[in-house]
Amino acid sequence: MVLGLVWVTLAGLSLWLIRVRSNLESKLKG
Amino acid sequence: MEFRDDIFLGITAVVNALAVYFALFLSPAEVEMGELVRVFYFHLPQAIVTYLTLVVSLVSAILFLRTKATKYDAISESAAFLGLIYGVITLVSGAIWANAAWGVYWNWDPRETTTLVLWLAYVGYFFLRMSVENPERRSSVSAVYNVLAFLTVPLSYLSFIIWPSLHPRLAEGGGGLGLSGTMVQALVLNILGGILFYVWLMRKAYGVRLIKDELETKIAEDARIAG
Repeated sequence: MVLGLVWVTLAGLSLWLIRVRSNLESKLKG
Repeated sequence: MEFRDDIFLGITAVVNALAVYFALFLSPAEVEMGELVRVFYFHLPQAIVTYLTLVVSLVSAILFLRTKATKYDAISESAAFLGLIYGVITLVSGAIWANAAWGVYWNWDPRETTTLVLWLAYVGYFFLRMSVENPERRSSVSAVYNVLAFLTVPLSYLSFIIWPSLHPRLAEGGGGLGLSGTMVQALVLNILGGILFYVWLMRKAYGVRLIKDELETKIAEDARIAG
């Protein structure tokens, strides 16, 4: 359960950061 | 030499896979904690990373106050943001452990309470950032606040020395945990894996903040030209 909590949170955060970055980059280009 | 993000992430994944294997399959149960020691392998590294990222945030805040270079404000904010995330993981995983060990999720133990105070202090940091509009003033005010908020880190770390606490400690004897052999290897691998993944996340968070700054500058520039 704890392992799941740690990895789901951190993986979710990684994906969120990657998505925010790609959104910001497309805004910067557009 | 250029930093290879993919290779770094690959190494991080391998170390963490090994860490999970050691913690779940190779490590024996601990004498006092029994199987609960496996929760501890994942809880402690997250707590260490929480303290580590807040140290990074503090050092960058001090460097910002000395140099006024915006990159230090960006590092400080990114590190504090990760401190909030890792803080939540530490608090929740600690509560799960507490429920299994003490039969209650939260019992206002000094370590729990001071870590919650620490987390709230850094929530305040972000409220402060949101409340100041001028970017230069925001950076300076939040850097000063950051230095003050950091006082909660030693308070949390040393809480079980200052007040009587049920929280386990790593030291030998005196009710401390006696880890040996594979248990130490499992713990060290989990700490190393946790720190490696933190470094990767920190680079990502810092990158996002830099692009956000660039975008804000561009919007301000466009508005100036249009106006």
